[in-house]
Amino acid sequence: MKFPENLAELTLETSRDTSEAYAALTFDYNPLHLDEAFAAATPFAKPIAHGTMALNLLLEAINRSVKAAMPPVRTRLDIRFSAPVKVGETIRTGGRRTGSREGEYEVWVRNAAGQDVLSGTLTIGAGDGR
Amino acid sequence: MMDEPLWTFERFEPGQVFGEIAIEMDSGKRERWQRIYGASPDNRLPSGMLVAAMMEAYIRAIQPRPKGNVHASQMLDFKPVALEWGQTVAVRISCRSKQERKGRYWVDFGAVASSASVEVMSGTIRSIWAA
Repeated sequence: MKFPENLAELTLETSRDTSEAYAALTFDYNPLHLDEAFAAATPFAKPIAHGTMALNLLLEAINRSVKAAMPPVRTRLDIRFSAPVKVGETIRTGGRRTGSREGEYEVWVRNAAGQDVLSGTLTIGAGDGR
Repeated sequence: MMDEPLWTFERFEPGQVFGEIAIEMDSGKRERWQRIYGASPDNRLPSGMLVAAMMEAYIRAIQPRPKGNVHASQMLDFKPVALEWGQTVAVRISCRSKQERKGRYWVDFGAVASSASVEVMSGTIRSIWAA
């Protein structure tokens, strides 16, 4: 198994349309994601994107840059959501191999200012998961 | 019809199961996925759709819920199983643990996704519950 040094950098411009599509996809119609007036009364002031929208962008980056060329493989991910993504912001994925073991990466999704919105570790191919 | 009681922190118990939700990876879901992430190169189900299914099950299984819950962190373990669009994924949601720390209500929810009785993913949703 050959692992690249870096994961693909994928970007996503969040928008009301992506939030509506994601709400319908996940059944998560929390007004914090969709309602300007509701969000204005919260500490966020504006609607924020669903946290797992960014997580799934990261999974797309993992799939496209590493897993697409492999047979199905056990994949573990442990991440922390560290900052909200305001709807309208653009986010970008990233990841680099750690020196500690084959198939292990530190991963992140960042906003346009370079701030982590989520970060964590990825391990590909450790055991068969049974 | 009487309103169901709100799911508050005090009602959660480790080991509690909220149910299993079956979700078909149908054309409507594929269209919504593609609106956000673009077209899949083939008929393989993106692993992110298992995360979307997990979130749908988590939302649907625990209702009504207070506003303002925070999804703080996430652990995922994808098994070496390939799925395709059109298959059905069942997600079982449970309470793994709960802890009050510094006035915040931390709850770990377990999610186990399976298709045709084969486990395809497990995960832990760590939430700060609002009430």
